[in-house]
Formats: sequence, C-alpha cells, structure tokens
Amino acid sequence: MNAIEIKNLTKSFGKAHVLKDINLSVKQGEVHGFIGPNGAGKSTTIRILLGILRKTSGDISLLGGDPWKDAVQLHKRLVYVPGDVTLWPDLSGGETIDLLGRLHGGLNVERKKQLLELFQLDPTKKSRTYSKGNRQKVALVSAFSCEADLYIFDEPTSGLDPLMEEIFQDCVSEVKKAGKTVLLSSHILSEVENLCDRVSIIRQGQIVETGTLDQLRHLTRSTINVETKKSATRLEELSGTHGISQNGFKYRFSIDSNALNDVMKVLLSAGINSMTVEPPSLEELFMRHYGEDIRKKEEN
Amino acid sequence: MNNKNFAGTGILFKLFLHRDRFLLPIWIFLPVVLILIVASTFSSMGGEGLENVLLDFDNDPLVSAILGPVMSFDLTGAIVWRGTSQIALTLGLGSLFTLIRHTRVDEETGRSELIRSYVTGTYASLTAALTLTIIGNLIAGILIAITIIFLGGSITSSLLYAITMVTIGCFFAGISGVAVQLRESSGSARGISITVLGLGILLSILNNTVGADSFLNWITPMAWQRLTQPFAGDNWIYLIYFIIICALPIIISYVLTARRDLGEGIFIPRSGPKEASPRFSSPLALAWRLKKKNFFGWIIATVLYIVVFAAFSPSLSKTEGMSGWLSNLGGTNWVEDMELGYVFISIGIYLMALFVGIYAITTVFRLKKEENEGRIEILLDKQVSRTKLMRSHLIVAYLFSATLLLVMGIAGGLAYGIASGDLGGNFGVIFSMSVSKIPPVWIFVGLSALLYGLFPRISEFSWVIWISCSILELTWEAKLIDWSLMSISPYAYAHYTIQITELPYLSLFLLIVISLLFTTIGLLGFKNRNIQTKA
Repeated sequence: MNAIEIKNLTKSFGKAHVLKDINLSVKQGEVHGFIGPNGAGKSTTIRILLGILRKTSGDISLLGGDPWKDAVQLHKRLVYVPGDVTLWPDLSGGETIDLLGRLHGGLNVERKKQLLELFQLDPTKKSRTYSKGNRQKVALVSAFSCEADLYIFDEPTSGLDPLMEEIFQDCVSEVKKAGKTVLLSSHILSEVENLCDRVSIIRQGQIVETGTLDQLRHLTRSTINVETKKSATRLEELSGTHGISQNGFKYRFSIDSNALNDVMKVLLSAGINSMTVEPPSLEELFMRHYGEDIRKKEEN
Repeated sequence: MNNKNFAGTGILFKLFLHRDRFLLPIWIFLPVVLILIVASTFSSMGGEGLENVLLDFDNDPLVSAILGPVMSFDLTGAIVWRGTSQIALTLGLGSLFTLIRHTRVDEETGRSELIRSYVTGTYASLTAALTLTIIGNLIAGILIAITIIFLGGSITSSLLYAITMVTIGCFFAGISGVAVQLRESSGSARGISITVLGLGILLSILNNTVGADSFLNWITPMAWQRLTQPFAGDNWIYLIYFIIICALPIIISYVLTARRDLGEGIFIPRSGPKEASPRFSSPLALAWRLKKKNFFGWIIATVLYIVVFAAFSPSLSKTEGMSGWLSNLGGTNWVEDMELGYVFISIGIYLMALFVGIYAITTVFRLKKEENEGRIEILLDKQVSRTKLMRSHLIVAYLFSATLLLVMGIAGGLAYGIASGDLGGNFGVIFSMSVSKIPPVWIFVGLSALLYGLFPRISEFSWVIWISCSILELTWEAKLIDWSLMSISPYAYAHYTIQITELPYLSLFLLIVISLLFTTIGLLGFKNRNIQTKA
C-alpha cells in the first residue's frame, strides 16, 4: 500500500483553480521529491494532505485514511515542517518545541537534546528574536524528535545555511534508514538529488512528470565539451544535437541520450583530444519544463 | 540636529497617510459625532430651559461626582461637561494606535528594516508617524471648533476648547512614542500606552469626585479643560504648560530612538525557559498562555476602577438633590425602587460590563489573529482537531470574561461594604449586580464565535453589534427611544435600572442558551471551512 495516493485532485479558491489535476503516489519507505516553481501548487497539495484545506474534488488516501475526516488520528503518524514557520513571539524556542511535540503525542527528550546540539539552537531565546533560519530549526528539531511513519516537509530548509542544510539531509537519511516515508517539497535541487528515490514535478496545478531520477534523466540531455584534432562540422547535421557552440576545434553542445552513438562516431572520425560529459542535471530538467513558461512570458 | 537623520521623512509620511486613509478619518471625525450626540441629547432634554437642566445636574451629587461640576450653563457648557472625556478617550486611543502602528509594528514585522536600507534616517519613521498623528489631532481640533461654533459657541472659546483637546491627543502620541522605544513588541507598547490612558481616566474621575479643582487637574490630561476653562473664563495661558508637557515625552522618544538598535528595545529581552513546564501540553494551555498577560491587565484595571467607584458610592448616593434626569431615566422612576446607596455603583458596574463586552470580542478574535498570522497551521497538523482548537480559545473567552465580572463583584462588594460600614448587608447585592452581567457579555462571545466560524471575513461585524448596543443605551437615556427598542440589547436584561431582586432570570438564562447555540454553530462552521494560510 502506498503511503500517499492522490488521484485527480482539484482545488479551487473561488474562481482561481489552483490545483487542476494532481496525481501523486508516494510508496511506503521512499523519499519522494516534490518539485516545482513558486505558485505551482506544492503547498496547497500538502495542506490538503494535512486536512488544513478541503479538496474540491478527487480521491486522496493518506496512510490508508481520509486526510480531512481522519485528520487527528492520522496526525499521530505524521510530522510536518512548513517552509515559513511562524511562532508565538512570547514563547521561548524550548517551550515551543515541547508544546509542538506534546501536541503530536509526545517527543523523545534525548533525541531533542541531540538535535538542539546538532542544529546549534539556543532554546532559551524568545521566538520573537529568532531569525528565519532559527525558526525553521525550531520546527525541524520538534519534527525529528517525534516518532512518525510519514514526514512531510514543505521547503524545510529555506533560510538554513549549508552546514545546517547538510544536517537536515543527515536527519532525513536516518529517517529513511528506519524505513519511514518522506515527502519533500523543495526547489533546492541538489537536496532532492541527494535524498530522493523518486521525484514528481508539478507545474501550474498539474503533475507533469513522475519517476526515479534515472528515469527522469533519461528525458533530458547531457552536455558534451570536446576538443577534436580536425573539424567536426558534421555534428550539426545530426538530429540529436542541440545548441552547438564552436571555438576553433573546441565544441560545446548538448545531446539527446539516444543520439550518443551517432555523436561518438562523428567525434571519433575527427579525432578526440579531450572530452568531458556532464550528466543531465535536475536543473536542466527543471528548465526544460518551465523554461517554456518563462519564454512565453517574455514574448508577451 | 543633523539633517540626514531625518532623510526620507516626507516619503514615509505619504506612505503612512496612504496606509491610514480609512483608519484616520474614523478617529478624526468621531469627536464631531460625539459632540452632535451630546448636543442633540441636551437640546431634547432642555430646549429653552437648558440652564435649569444643567443647574439640576450640577446640584446632583451623583452626576457631578462622575462628570465634575458644570462650568457654564448653556449648550457649549453641556458639551464641554459631558463630551470631554469621550473626546479625550477617542483622540488618545486614535493617537496611540496610529503612532504604534507606524513605528513599533513596522519594526516588529521587519518593514522598517527594508525602509531603513534605503535613504532614510534614524528619526524618519518616528518623525513621520508623529507628524501624521499630530496633523490628525489638528484636523480633529479644527472640526471640533467648527462644530461648536456652528452650534452657537463663540469663536475664541471654541478654538481654546479644540486646542485643549488637540493637546490631549498629542500628549498620548508622545507617551506612545516613548512606549515603543522600551521593548521589542508592539503589544507591550500598546499595553503601556493604554495603561497611561486608563490611569488618566481614573484620575479624572477621582478628580471629579472631589469637586474637580484639585492638583489632579495638572496631572491628568483628561482634566485639562478644567484649567483652560473654555466658555467659562478662557485661560489661554495654560496652553503653554500643555505644550511643554506634550513636548517632554516626544523629546524623550527621540533621545531613546537614537540610543537603541532597530528592532530592539531599550530593555534587553528576557530569555525564556529551556523547556516547557509539564502542563504546557494542550491547545487550552496555549490559549491561556497567549491571553494571560492581557487578562491580568484587565483584572487590575477593573479592580482599580470599581474600588474607586464603590468607595465613593455609599456617601454620594445617600445625599439629597438627585437630578430629575437621573431619577427619571428613560421615563422610569427606578430610583424610587432602588435603595439609594446603590444608584451610583449600579451605573458604574453597568458601564464596566459594557467594556467587558469589548474584552469578550477581542479574546475570541485572538484565534483569528493566530489564523491570519499562520500559526494555527503548525497546530492542525498535530493531534489537534479544529473543534478542539477553537473550543480552547472559546473556553478561555467564556471563563475570563466571567472571571472579570466575578472579580468586579467581589472587589466592588468589599469596597462598598467597607465604605458603607455594612459589609454583610451590601456585599451580596453588589456582587449580584456584577455577576448578572455575565449572560449579556457571553452573548458577545457567542456572536463572535458564530461569525468567526461561519463567515471569518465579516467577523468584525461583532463590533458593529457592540457599538449599536452602546448607542441604544445612549439614545434610551436621552429618551429618544423607548424600552421596547432598548431591549434589543442583551444588556437590557441586566440593566442598572433593574433591581437585583427583580432580575429577569428566565431571560438571562435564555441569553446563555443563545450564546451557547451561537458557539455551537460557530464551531461547526470552523470545522468545515478552509483555514486561511499564507501563500
């Protein structure tokens, strides 16, 4: 059984159709990346999963239950960290962590102490004085101190420095090792690449791509930098090469993954001095999906 | 003085003015409305014989204990006598909210940081906010003067009165100017400023009970019209004193601004406990914690207020010479039925109960604030149902508002009992007067819960209802409406003209039932609606 199963989910606020058709399945025990640009519908989807917002239509199963009707029972088994944590200005960080943990149904005090050390958070400060990063830490410490089957993170590391980002990644890896399920919404793509087994890409309220990173990489292009002994102009005649730039006998271009054989034949016949191949990155995948939107906007 | 410290003041002033384009007119125009209400009330009461009506009031020990002696016996005198405290309260509150909104609130939300990264000086925000507040007061003053001149006041006296009122507003602008420097939260600044305002009102009432010619005239701005005496001698010279008193806090606020960092207060923030106490583990505990400070503020204010009222009541009410207006309120002869000593205190308790209605509404709307600021999102993902969350805040609203009235009953009963020398005979009556106001106050808890749960966008309508009830009270007292209309207000069922032995228990019980019904509907609405979240 999947931890999260969403079919044909829609959500409208009045005339604004924020979610048009969301289909998402997160398998038990996997770390699932949920990526997309601002305003694509990531947070709305997550808030529907938490029973904070009500769906307009569609089917959702969360840990086998209905996220709206069974919210309280389901919340025993999940923790959530939002991307922009707002705290009570008059409560200290320590009080907030304890309160949130107790409202979840109890937290592991030892684990909390370790996490406070790891994240270097001073729990005696009033929440009013915390920076954005420190507010995120309060939510993260509280979440990782709790026992849960499902961890939902909505851009959890916004405002964290790279050191803390790494500690977050360690915590997620540990959780994964323990066989728990994680849904990680993010637009820090390196974070997703490091952690996620599978990725779903959302665009304008629709899931446009789902798969393992390898599967997704297959959809995109590698970049080749090559220096040849003689001219390799025939590259341009191949159908799978794109954006060739030339400087003497140095070439830089991207290729579709199925064109690799043909390209190599041409290069070999021209004689290779040096060559590097950059694997397709999530960034490029991202740009491939959204670059179009940006271009359209520029034209308008 | 260095010019660069004031860079950007003009632009900020325009920004603040734009942000306040709807709020500012409210407190600027309200004094005019108040003057017109007072004028129409007295015109309807006195007509040709207004002088006699005022003489009657002036001889009434009870009325003059609350409002002090009348200074001139015509319509303008009536306006000064009856309207000053409301005008001072309006301008005081308007000034302090406006100033805090554009200084500490901006710092708290981080807007000031953005502003200060542009070409703006240390004093720019404070100066722009002070300018806006003072200009607001000046316009209010001009409107006050025009209104009174229109009603037949002399130009010079009307101006003097208006300027006196303007200085009161400016004084509280200065006070809140200092208050915002002290701590890093706007709530604390508001608390300090409102405390000073409340103290001013309390001292002015105290001043009135001793005949309004004590040194308190100098201390509390709420009694400044007793110094300048517009329409009754016109002592312009005191304005110099007022201006000095207004300038002092303003100067202090500039000195303090220069000495602190942006976003910080003069006092270093206290650190909190490393761990939460074991009992801090439910939405109810959180709701209690969030409202605790404010609640204790109300308790202190209520106790101070009622003790002053109760201590003077027994001696005042027993004296002869009650005015016809008071003993014949709204066409009743309630004073004949009520034991004379209770007349004064029953009005005092009633007035405070009206204000506890405000407390009830704000306490329910604290949940709305939590929702708007995105803090209930991290509660609803826990084992906290919507019903449980809202219920926690409502329990606190019900309990705290009732506790305020209980405490007022106990403190008032004790003070009155001791002052009258008959604690056993009086305590129960005073206590019941206060406690009988619980059902009408609870109506406002229920109403606010209903609106917030079902229609969060128009939940502010609760305030309209509260204001309507206050206006009903005023118009009924002025005999403009009769009791059948007055009884729309829930407060009518525990009205100060009703004797304790004749309280309509069934109606009061029904008020509680209605309140609980409203609450239930509100809870159901909240359970089934979307939560407002940040994008």
